[in-house]
Amino acid sequence: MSQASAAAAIATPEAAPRRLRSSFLLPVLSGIGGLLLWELAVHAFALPSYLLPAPSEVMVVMVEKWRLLLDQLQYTALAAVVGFVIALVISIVLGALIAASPAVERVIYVWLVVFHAIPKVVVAPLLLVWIGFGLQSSIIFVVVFTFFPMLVNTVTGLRSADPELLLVTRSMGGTTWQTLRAIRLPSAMPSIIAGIKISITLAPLGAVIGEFVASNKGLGHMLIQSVGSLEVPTAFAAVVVVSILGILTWYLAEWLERVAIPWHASQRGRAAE
Amino acid sequence: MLNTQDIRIEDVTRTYGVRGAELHALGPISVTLEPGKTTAIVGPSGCGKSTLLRIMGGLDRPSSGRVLLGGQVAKEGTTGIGVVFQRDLLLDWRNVLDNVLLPAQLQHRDLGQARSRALMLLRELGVGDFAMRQPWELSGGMRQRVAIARALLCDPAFLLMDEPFSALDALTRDQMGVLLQRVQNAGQTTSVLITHSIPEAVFLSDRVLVMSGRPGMILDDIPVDLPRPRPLSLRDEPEFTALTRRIRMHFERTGVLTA
Repeated sequence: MSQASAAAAIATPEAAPRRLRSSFLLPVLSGIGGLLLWELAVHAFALPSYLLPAPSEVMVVMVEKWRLLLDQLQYTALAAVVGFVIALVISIVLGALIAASPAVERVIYVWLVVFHAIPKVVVAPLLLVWIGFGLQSSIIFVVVFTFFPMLVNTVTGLRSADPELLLVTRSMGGTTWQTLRAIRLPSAMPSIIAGIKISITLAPLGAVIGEFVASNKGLGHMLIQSVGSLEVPTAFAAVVVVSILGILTWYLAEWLERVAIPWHASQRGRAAE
Repeated sequence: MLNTQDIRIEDVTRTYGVRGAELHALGPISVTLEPGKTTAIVGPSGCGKSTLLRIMGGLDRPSSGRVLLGGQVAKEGTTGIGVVFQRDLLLDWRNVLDNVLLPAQLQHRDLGQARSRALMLLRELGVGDFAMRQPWELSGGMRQRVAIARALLCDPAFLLMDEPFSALDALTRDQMGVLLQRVQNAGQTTSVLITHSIPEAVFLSDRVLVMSGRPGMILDDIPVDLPRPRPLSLRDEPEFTALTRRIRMHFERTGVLTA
């Protein structure tokens, strides 16, 4: 949209319904259209439900088993939240140490890269042996899944402060700690938030994969059990709930971004949207 | 604030190592800048003007020689210095008032007093109504006024300005020059102005140091005995144009400007 047409869209009385149509109505219609096509395809090709259940069938299962799904969701969400918070704290502290000291970087970074390069799913059985069965395994999985993007973005952010901005505090006699607080950390926030946005959507995924192998509770466990017993509509119901959790965490991250860095170029004017 | 306010530059040189070779950027320079006066330094690009200013502010170290600010060796962490950079370098995550208050916060000064002075400076600089606005909502000229207010907040004994108006249009530059005279605390603050603009150097200073190309050395030391406060119309006076011509001739002679 050109600047002139954007301005016109804001100015005219028709602008509000038009915005509502494009930002809300069209995605909803697209979603409903997709589900209808899916429903029609299942009936048209007479697909058995153990192969591909119709959306209506998944919906019925969700209504029937809502309490069970909610219980499993709570368990998965707990693992996701606890694991994510642990990963966030570790990545910020470690990121600050790496950014502050080249020696720390040389000692630690190579291990982190090796750790990141190891396929997480492959080591899942080992985690079961080391940590045991239950919530703690899922939490560790979430930490492993979410830690690296936040660490890399924290290091990048802390290192990418404008060198001329650093002169400002230096010229005022600011200490290293004051410079970190006044310049480096706020400068790094967009990068840190970007890392959080990537990681926060990986958190439910990490919890579910942890539950695949090392838990007898949670949506991941429910999913793998349902597939094993060919209760595919139940498995789909679990997938839908995991997806909803993923979408909610994404919007949580979006909100966090708006609150944490309202001054950043990417956020200016978004409050008016 | 430091007591004695002169700036003594003693045999200062600065060399840089560039890909194994040594680049002699500056000096040797020896000069004393009188207390309470404004000295403009003009010279071609790359002559080391900004380097000299950073050495004065303790933000860079000389390869040899030293700079004394009020008798103390200039070094990082020295308070009592206000610096205005070429870019305004306002912090986007702070509003205008909080940007101006930054030096007071870093130096643990009384924030109540600092706030009153910040608001007074912003008013004098014509941006008092924008104290609670964010920096990105301001024009380039307004942002640079906020940067000047920030540099002056703690009533510095030394005000160091590195091409502060170079990013502004001609009209705004003129306006900024007049405003700067108003808030500069004439007679109290020893100021150094680095600029590429010959008229700006003459208009704002009591003395102009003309520097040669790299390695930058002082070619001429020109006193500017024009009355203060100086109106913009002063630029049409014969004394003013004689001074600008004298500076320009140095650059014409060295090929920086072609006649």
